[in-house]
Amino acid sequence: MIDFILSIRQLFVFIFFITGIYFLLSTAVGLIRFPNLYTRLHAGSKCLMAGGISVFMGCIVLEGISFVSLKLIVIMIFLSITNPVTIHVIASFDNNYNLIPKTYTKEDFEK
Amino acid sequence: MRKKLLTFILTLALWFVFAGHVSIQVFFLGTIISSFISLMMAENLFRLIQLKDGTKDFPKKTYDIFMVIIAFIYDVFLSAVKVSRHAFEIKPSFSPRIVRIKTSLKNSNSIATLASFITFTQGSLALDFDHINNQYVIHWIDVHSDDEEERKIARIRKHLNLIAKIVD
Amino acid sequence: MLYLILVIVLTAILTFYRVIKGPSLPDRLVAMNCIGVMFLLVLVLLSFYFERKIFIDVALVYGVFLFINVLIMAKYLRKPWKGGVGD
Repeated sequence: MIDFILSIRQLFVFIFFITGIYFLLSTAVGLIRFPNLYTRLHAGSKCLMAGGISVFMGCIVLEGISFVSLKLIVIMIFLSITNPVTIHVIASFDNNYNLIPKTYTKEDFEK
Repeated sequence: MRKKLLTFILTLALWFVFAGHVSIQVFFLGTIISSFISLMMAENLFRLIQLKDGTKDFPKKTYDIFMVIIAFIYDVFLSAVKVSRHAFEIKPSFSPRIVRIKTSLKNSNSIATLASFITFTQGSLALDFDHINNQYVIHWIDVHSDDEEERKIARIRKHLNLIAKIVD
Repeated sequence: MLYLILVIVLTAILTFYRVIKGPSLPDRLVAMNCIGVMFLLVLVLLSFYFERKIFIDVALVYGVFLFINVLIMAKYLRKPWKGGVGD
């Protein structure tokens, strides 16, 4: 019975780490291959945060209930609050949006 | 008084998490430091977070906060799968577009909270906020036609209503 | 566990390509933010590999300084407002 619980926990740790590796690799590939700044910001915010959350969850399941896992939860909450703030500050870096390719919306035609 | 007690309990719990073990010396030092913090900074802390109707119906609100956290984690993974599928295509194809959305929120803190939520929904990224017209400027990664734009705006309005329940 | 650390370091090296080549300045900032978060994950995993709990405190302080670092770089390197002081 104890061996069964241990193997279930190993399986969950394996799944979380594999998904984390996949999202981090997609972050690197996306930052290299995407054409302009704002699409790179998409890769830098969502894929990075999903990879970070899944690696932290794998560490929490590996550790069990202790003070170390509480510290990991604190770091995870802090990262998920501050990462959109940094992305938003970098996105408002340039005042006039010259970098975006011009595709007209419906409200542009109404003007 | 209730605000100061809540601040005291939260800072003492954070102190124990950072200390790493429970003993009598850690407890005494923690009570001294967190009592200083709760006496000095309780009013400033609760001025930043403005809940709707104060702290009156708090146990009813915990259900809403729980639903918001579940929606947050679900959206992060769903949108990350969508962006990573774009990354591993042979030819990455985008059709970016800038959309403006009006809000009814007035307080600046709740506007900042919703901006970080818009960053994590599917394929959208909050660029800027227009203070004169109360509009968000949002960059979408894949919008092919006007019908699809309407459907995606409706998906953001759902999040906006969910947040407007909690924060004023 | 060691292979996981090596793969994350490999992704950080792949991201470093954007820091060198990036055509404009915000590209370099985004890539730098990504490298910072990846090395924070490496610190957390190293604390499990060497079985030392003190590395997690290092990771926490590193995360706080990373946030302040990126915010101050983005504040002082941006273009001035049109009609502003430095225009």
